[in-house]
Amino acid sequence: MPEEPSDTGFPIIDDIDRVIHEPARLLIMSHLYVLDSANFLFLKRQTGLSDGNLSSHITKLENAGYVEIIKKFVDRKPLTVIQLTKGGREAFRDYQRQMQHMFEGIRD
Amino acid sequence: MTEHVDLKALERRAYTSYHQDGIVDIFLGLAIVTLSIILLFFETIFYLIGGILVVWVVSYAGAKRSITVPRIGYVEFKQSRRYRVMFLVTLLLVLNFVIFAIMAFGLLTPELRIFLNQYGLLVVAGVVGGLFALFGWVTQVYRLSGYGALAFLVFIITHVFQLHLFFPIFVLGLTITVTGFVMLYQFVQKYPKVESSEGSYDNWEDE
Repeated sequence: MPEEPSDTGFPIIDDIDRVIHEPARLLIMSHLYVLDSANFLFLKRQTGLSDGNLSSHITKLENAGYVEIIKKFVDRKPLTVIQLTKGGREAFRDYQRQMQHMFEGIRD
Repeated sequence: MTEHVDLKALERRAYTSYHQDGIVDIFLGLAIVTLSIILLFFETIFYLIGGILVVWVVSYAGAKRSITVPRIGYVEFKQSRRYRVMFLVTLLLVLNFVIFAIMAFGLLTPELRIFLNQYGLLVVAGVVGGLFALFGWVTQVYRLSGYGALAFLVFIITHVFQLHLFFPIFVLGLTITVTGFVMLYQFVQKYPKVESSEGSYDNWEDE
């Protein structure tokens, strides 16, 4: 589940999903949103994150229910791939809408 | 990093980086070189294209598995990507079948036969160049469109200087093959092979 929102007195920001809002996790979610699935190495190459960083962020996303780890066989070889859950996909779309809404609301 | 995330660009970058290994170029180039050499000995080569395509697809998939995936990782793109590639392969097979049928059953009218004898290479230049451009545009691997421009040019030169058909096909195939090997070298340098225990979820999951 998303992290507890804080009370900033700025309701739109308070509603932002902080699990996705973290830059590295946003990058991971963005990649998984446009792909069907990918393994750890592909995400590492695309995001440029270190092994440790990537693994901890994927674990957080998994704990939030946004990604799922699937073990399968491709050409009789075991393979572990990561993909967005239905909830993760919806959460990402909500996040997009919230961010657009927030910036539309900001005026000089 | 969060200022602007262009999702289409992100997907395109993932797709093109997966095809920056030059393997498609090497296989395509070698297939074309093979065709050009066969052409030196046999006049009609069209019926061979289908056979080469089958061998090509099987070998290409194996090369991807053994060269690309251990270096850049495994990915499955969205169905729309796969449909686009399937559309192109189907188009190529249908085109191959149509040409085969025309040649095998003598469906050309005498007028068309005379026209093709005179301007056949210009038609081939347009079709081959157009097919490459279409492949480049649909797959967004834009160097394929560059190959289309090269194909168009060499077929036109062959027509103007009345060279043997071997020349444009061989030049095109050789250029694509060499480009592929250069790209493969750069790819291998940029992405060293990751052993199966490294960089995999199974490894960091246990840490």
